[in-house]
Amino acid sequence: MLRVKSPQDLGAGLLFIFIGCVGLYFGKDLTYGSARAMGPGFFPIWLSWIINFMGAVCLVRSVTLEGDPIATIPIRPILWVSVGVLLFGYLIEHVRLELALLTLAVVATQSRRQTDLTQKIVAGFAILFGIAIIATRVQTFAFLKPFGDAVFGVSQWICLALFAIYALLTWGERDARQTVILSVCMSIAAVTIFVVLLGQAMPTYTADYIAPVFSKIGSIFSSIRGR
Amino acid sequence: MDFNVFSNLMTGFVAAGTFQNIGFAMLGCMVGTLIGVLPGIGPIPTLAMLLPITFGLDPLSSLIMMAGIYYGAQYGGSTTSILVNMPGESSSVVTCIDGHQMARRGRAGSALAIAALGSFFAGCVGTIFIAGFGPPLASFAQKFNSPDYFSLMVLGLVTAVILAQGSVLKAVTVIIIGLLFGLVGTDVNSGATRYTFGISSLWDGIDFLPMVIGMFGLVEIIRNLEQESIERNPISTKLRDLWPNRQELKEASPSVLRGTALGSLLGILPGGGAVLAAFAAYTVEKKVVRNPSFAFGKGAIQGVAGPEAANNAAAQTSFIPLLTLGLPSNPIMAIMMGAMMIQGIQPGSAVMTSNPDLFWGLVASMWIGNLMLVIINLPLIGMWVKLLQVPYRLLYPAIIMFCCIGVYSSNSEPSQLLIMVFFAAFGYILMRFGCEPAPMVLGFILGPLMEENLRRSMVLSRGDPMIFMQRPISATLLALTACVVLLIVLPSFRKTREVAFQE
Amino acid sequence: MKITRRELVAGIPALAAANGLGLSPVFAQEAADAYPSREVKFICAFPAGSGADVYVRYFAERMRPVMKRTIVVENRAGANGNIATTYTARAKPDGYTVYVHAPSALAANMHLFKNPPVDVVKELQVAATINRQPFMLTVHADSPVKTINELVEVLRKKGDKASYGTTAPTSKVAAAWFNKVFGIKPVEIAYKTAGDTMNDMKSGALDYCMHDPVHAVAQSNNGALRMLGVTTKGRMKALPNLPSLHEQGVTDLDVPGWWAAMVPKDTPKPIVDKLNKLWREVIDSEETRQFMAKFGADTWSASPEEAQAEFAKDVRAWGDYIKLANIEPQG
Repeated sequence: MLRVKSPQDLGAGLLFIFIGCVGLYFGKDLTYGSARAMGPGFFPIWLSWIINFMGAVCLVRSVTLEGDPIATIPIRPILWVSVGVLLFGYLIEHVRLELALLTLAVVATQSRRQTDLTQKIVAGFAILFGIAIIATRVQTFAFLKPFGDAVFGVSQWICLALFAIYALLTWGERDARQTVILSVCMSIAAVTIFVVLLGQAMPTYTADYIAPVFSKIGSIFSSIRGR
Repeated sequence: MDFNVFSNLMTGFVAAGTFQNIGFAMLGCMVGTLIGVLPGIGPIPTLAMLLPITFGLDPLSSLIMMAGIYYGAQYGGSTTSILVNMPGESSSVVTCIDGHQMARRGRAGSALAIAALGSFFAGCVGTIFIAGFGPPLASFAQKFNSPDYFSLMVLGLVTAVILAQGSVLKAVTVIIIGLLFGLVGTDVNSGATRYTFGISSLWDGIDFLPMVIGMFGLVEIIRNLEQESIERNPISTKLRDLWPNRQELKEASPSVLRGTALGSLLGILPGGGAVLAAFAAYTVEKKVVRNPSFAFGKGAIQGVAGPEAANNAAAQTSFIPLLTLGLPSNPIMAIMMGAMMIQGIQPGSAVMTSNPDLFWGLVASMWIGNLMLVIINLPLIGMWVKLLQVPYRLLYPAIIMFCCIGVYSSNSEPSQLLIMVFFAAFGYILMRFGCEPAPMVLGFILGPLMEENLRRSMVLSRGDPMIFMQRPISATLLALTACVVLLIVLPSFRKTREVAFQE
Repeated sequence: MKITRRELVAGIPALAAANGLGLSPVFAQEAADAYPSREVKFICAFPAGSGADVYVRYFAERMRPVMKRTIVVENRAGANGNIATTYTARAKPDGYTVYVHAPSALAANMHLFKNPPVDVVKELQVAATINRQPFMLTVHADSPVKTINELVEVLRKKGDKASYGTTAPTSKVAAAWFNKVFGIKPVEIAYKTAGDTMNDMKSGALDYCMHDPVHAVAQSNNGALRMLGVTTKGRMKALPNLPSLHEQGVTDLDVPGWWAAMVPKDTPKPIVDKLNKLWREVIDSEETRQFMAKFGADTWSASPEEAQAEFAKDVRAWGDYIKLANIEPQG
């Protein structure tokens, strides 16, 4: 009877064969060409077959040689880090850099043990935006689009509220308080370095609202002095 | 070697040694170190953004500043690789393997110091190479045609197998998967889009930065977070413990020499030259060093010293094609070329005769820049190591924040973050199945180059594969490849047999 | 930067308008007088640090004193320029998002892709033209070939053993045209960048190349390449001694690349005209002419209407070019 002696090899073999098959399936429409005039499909199809072959060898090995077990995959850090990063990407266009960063910090810190309440609030927030993103991006859910637009329309207030609630709820704990303070400092530092020093073109509140105020004050001063 | 080299170098030091130029070198190195240390932002966008500033400067000063940014970023990239396992660019991927392990062992200071000193030494040698052998080296690089490049890539990929610690089979497959990932995007020959799944931001291929930050940086964070309390070896910030001890210095010195030689040679080749240098140096170290105090992959100092030296030597000699032939060997050189042309200087062999001050001044400034990097960075080591004492629960949100901004800002494109998350997940799964990501990066970088050169060679030979054996350079490289394959296969065969016998 | 009080007051309606109230015709002229009243964004369709990016940044730097405003270059690279094109077409039509790119390449994109994301002539308005830059037919400097006739003779003799290098759609088209006129069939070898062709040219593997002007001029000054002709009908002002391919028997070959500043189609006419006037100040200067000459290009200034007509003509012409060069449209 076949017994899996090396689970890691089994996993790797299945993963390799999966990638090889994806390569073959999506490469099937590419022109193969000939050795003399190789088409765009020549190299990828060969590579995919080699990957499949290697995957098969891995599978054979998994039942013949003893190997290491697969360690458990913790869901929490992967989930929250990914959700935080993805939300950052979608939010930066809607709520500018500063708030997107604060949101990212709040969501990413969920990957460590937190109180139940904050975790639920943050999860609710993530689900709300997840639906909004799907509603605005995916054709099939176009009927939800007004809802998505509405969420993104007030997204800056939602983010601000989330950060405020998070700060209030966790203010009692030293660790969480430090995180809150640090994330505010980090977003100020990030804007200073990337936008002010390096001149990157990124949507920021600083550039949109604060800088014009400063330049107006400056110009009023200079016009007074000019007189 | 030309006898005038020393008098020429003197001209150079006079030109580069003015107060103003040293100031610009200093500024460049500082900006470079800063952007190198910030995860997610590379030297290329920074140079592009600073380009307008250089319009107003005189040509030598502007080139000196840009060169300074380039080295500074190279060095800063190694710093993040060692401290948080986050390579800033392709060549520092290798530094992660042992550098970060040293940091986990509490020897971050030593790793950083070795990287700085090794880079400085390599930089000095690289400068002498440019001054003494620039033109002959360039004409050697010109002899490389498509078939030769293909064979070089094959050699590079085969040596990458040695990088991995685990099974050879998995390492080979991971490299090939890297090759496949490298092919995503628009095909040069036909314009066909491959594996883009209808996502328009994939049409130009997968970006390097989100990929490595996902696969190395984020995976490292996730790995650290899965442990309830993150334990680190106690880090001492006493000066004595920050420096490499005598044993470490003794072990690292020969590695630096070997790395420098490899890097200087491979750096002149356009395309993957500099990346190959770092990977090849690691491979050489792993095969040459018999009894390291710490195994490779577990924090061997040779695994930091060799690649770091190679990487910096290659950074120096990659100037050779630009200065002698007017051909940029990487995107950074292309920006330098743009800067020179805007200043009204035609890059190429004529620079040496028409603007000797500029040419030799730039060469001299490379040495000055390297010296400055050591001066800036050695005192900073203490600070970096202190940074590691910040509790991880505070450090990691900050790292994620900077990664996200950097990745987003490179193209103002949220989909880059999607790619980053995809590779984080992919890298994590690979790790769980006992595969290592470093060889995949080399495959990813060399994949498109390899395919391009293979297809081109076959068209040139009208479909005759013998073209790879008929050309002397290509045949030599393939013979070397065969030797490396034997080196890999023999020991692993033996091991398999042992295992089989035991059963 | 100094902002006078008058400018500040004049800027208020423009600011209000730009903030989403929309431009009524009455305000359009006033807004144009005040334009630009805030930061202007130049969109570049290439990654930071590429040759084209250097170009865009150069103009951003030269336009800054003319516009008297900060100019930020935003790189939206990818999909052969389609990402930046879509982005610009959907931007607010207020003149503060300016796309600096080659309309000739956008025209080619309309046919290179099965489903181009935007109809460029309908959704973009050329505000100002920048330059014309033809491709160049080059041979290696060591090659004995000195004229087109000699080259054709060599290619005929070698038959299908001859090879040529191309680097971009324009270069493919020009070379295909050249081969068709003389009825020769050398084998095409595609390269990613012009620099990659150099080693194969030196070894004699490539008989000729269609190079972009930046590379061709730089390497011919360097003594590595010899230029035999340009792909425009007339000669260039920057290189009056270099004959065109048209005069050397490649009849009617005229595929110039050209660069322009473009804005979304609905941008009010007064603002387009103001932009045109501002750009001309830079384009018509002697400094810009010399800068362009170094890159193998002629400056070119035209009215928005002329430029838009040229744009539409290019889009039509590329339909035929693609068929000629046998390029398969992609989706």
